[in-house]
Amino acid sequence: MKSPFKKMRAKRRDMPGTELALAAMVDMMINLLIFLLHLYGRNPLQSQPKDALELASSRSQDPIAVAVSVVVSLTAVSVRGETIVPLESRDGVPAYADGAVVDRALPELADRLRTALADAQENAAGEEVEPEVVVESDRRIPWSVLEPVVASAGDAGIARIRFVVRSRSKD
Amino acid sequence: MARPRRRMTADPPEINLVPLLDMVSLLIQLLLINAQFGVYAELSSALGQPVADDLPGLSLRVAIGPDGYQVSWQDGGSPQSRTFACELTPCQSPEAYDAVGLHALAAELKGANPDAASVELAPAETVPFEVMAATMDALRGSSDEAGALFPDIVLGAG
Repeated sequence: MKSPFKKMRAKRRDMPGTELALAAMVDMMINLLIFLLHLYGRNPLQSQPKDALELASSRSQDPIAVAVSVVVSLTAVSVRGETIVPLESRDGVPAYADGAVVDRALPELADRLRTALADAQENAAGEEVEPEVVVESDRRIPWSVLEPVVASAGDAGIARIRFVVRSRSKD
Repeated sequence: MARPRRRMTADPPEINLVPLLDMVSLLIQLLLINAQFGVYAELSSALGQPVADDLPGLSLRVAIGPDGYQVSWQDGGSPQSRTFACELTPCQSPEAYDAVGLHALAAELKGANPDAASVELAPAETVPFEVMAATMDALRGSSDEAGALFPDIVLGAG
């Protein structure tokens, strides 16, 4: 007498082979991959803000436009990861060293922004580049530190300032 | 007796998709771990000359001081102003600024001047950026077209 297990094995052998439809799964995965890569390609922030940089929160939902990025942290003003002007702490409040601000602006930053703007214009292959700057500022930075950054952008011929904020839902 | 000729059949070659699926799955996981959907946004502003008092229109100006907001505007050529002081002065925290009151005034002024879209922001030196961001939010209103109040923010000297 055949054991029930042998019967089941024999039955299984008789069933037609079931194959996974892998092609459909690959299609779906590739679509998902394209979606994610597209999402990443649209993010103009070259890297996520560092943990030490606390962005202000806002109800704004406007996507960040691609532009020259200036980071204003508690310790320095930097462009593309390079420190342009260091900041010092005065009674716990960030401030520029004496002599760093000339005519309400930062000459080194203005020069750097002019160069970046010229590079962007050169890379645009004849198309007009909107002179804009994206400022990633820490929420605790006082206007006395931000104003020279804004004025330097103005000196470099940039009239549009976009501040990066942490978006929160409308309350 | 001749042996029956056996027909040679060649199975079509199959691509082994399993390693490809493995790789794509890992890549998707990596991208999803790093993705932060809609976390960052921007607040747009412009540099410009302060709005002259004698220009026609609303000429709305918001000064942010250590004690609160000072709002000034033109109403049919006559200068108007209103102060939104913090309960304790100087303001103890960014939340102490009366952004709700400022938003209500902005909505009222927008109702009376539907064509006006710009406002000059003049922060004092000690005002931190998060207060500026909250003020911009209050003045811009909702980002959709129907609820927008004063989306054109001009940064001026405090």
